[in-house]
Amino acid sequence: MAYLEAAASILVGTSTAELQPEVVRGVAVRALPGGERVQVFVPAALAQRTLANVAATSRLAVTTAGVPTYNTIQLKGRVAAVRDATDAERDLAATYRHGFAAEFAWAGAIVGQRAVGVWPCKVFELAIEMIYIEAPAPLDFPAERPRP
Amino acid sequence: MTPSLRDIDRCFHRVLPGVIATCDRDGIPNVNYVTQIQVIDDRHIALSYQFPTKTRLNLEDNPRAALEVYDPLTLDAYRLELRFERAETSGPLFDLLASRIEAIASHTGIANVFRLRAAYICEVLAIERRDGFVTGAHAPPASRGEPLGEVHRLALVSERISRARDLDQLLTGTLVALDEVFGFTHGAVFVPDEDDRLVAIASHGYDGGSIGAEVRIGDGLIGVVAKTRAPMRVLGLDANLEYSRKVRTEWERRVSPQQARTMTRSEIPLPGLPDARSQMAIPLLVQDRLLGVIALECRDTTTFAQWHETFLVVLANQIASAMARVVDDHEDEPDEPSPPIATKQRAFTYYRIDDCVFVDGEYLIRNVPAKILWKLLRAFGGEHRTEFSNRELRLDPSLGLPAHKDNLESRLILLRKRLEQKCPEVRVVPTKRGKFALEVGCSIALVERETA
Repeated sequence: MAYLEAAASILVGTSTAELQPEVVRGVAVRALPGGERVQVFVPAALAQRTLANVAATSRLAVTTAGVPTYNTIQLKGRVAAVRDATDAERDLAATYRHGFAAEFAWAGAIVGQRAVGVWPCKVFELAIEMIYIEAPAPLDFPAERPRP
Repeated sequence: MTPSLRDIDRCFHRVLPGVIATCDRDGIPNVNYVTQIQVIDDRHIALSYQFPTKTRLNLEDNPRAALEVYDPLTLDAYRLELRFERAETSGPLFDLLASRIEAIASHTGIANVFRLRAAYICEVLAIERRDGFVTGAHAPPASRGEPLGEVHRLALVSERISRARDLDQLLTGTLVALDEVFGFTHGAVFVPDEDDRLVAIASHGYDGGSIGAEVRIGDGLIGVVAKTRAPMRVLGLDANLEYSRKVRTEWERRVSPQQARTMTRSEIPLPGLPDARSQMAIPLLVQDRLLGVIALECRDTTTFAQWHETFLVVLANQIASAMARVVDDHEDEPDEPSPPIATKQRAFTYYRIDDCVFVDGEYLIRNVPAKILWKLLRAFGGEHRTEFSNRELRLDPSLGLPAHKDNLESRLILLRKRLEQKCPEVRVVPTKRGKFALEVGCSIALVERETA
């Protein structure tokens, strides 16, 4: 869970009821006590389709990756609750901005004065059903490791 | 305005990897990175498939996907709505995508492991810019000139190529012109040598340090371009290599040491800049014959654009034609007199087992150029000869020159430049058409050995 929360890159996937997928970058993942649930923070400016999809299907996948290793962990499950992030949680998103900038800087990007938008956020509380580990690619080996 | 695939070309070079969401027939989403994306035409892209991923399974189950890609220059994000059409496991597109992957994988010694299994062709149904993804003023990249200006630049380089009177002037002059006109600060021209290798005979921006650098055909960007005879650009080279190294580390962790030894090779050092972030290589072809590869590199990630590649292909055709033209077409005028060189002794050793010449214990040159040098030095040492002709070299079977298309001119340039670097007291100087002189400004000692 510590690795999950420290990841610099967060990818969020959902789908419409008609099976049209949607991808968006999240800005923070926070594990809740007990390890059964996580909170996924997504910038509100980018979250419209994700919100609609979750309302329709409740399903969500979140992949976190370290940079530059791209060791990834993917969690899948159903969203139990959605809410607006509070001002007290703003630092979480700000931390992500630095990590994300590091990813882009490592990749050699020329970003000048531009920065990813991280606030305000919507928070999706995900009840975890499956965990997948891919590090950094599944190669020819079984990649899916159902959560016990 | 809705952007086109052409508008967002920079997003598809894996400087910043794209991310893709798919879902299976039950609506369970999956989200992950995409390794390679290739634009096919105005409405289609190809996704590379190296591993048996859930993304691939989902696309075969439900053809719809959402892809997000990033412009490494502006940081803008773009969302693409995709519909999977088909998988290709052979053909020109597959080969193109496979060669891009091979160029990186071969550098890191995992070409046998990290290879393309299929190209997944997807129709692009919609493209939208993600408003709100980034904050801050949008600073468009500095203009690189109006189209007419670019054509004018092309003409300037072309003129330089046309004026060249010998191979060295042609190749070095072109590299200098590419720097002056396009700002390509580092470049080299590699020509085929023996043993399926390419060797650099001209360079610019490296202080001459890359002359004699070798690349095996099939290895890295330059070697793959020579093998496929197709131009290639790699942006975000460092990011691509880093990812490939991680794949290698993880793969080695999962297999037996014996399998790891069998399937992988040592990483191949990049010739040229150790910290290059982008590379472009174009084959020099006359009909079906490979005369060489012009390789450019840069520390900046996004220097080489699509139009550069197009322009370089035009120039490469002209360079290749000029290479064929100037072979054996030396200037009639002798070079300027060389400055006096202090007399000293240089010891040359020729190793028969691998046709290598060392000078004072330091590697100088190998293969045919080494045999030529050894022939010249022996003639100088035994008969005090200083005048030689290309013809006598071509007639000497011990040198192993092929009967046709022998690249003798390229080999003499390489020899001349290696001597300039490692032993300036000995010079190979063109005198008149098809003739040259060996100028020796020191006493020489010659030793011939079977092995080191």
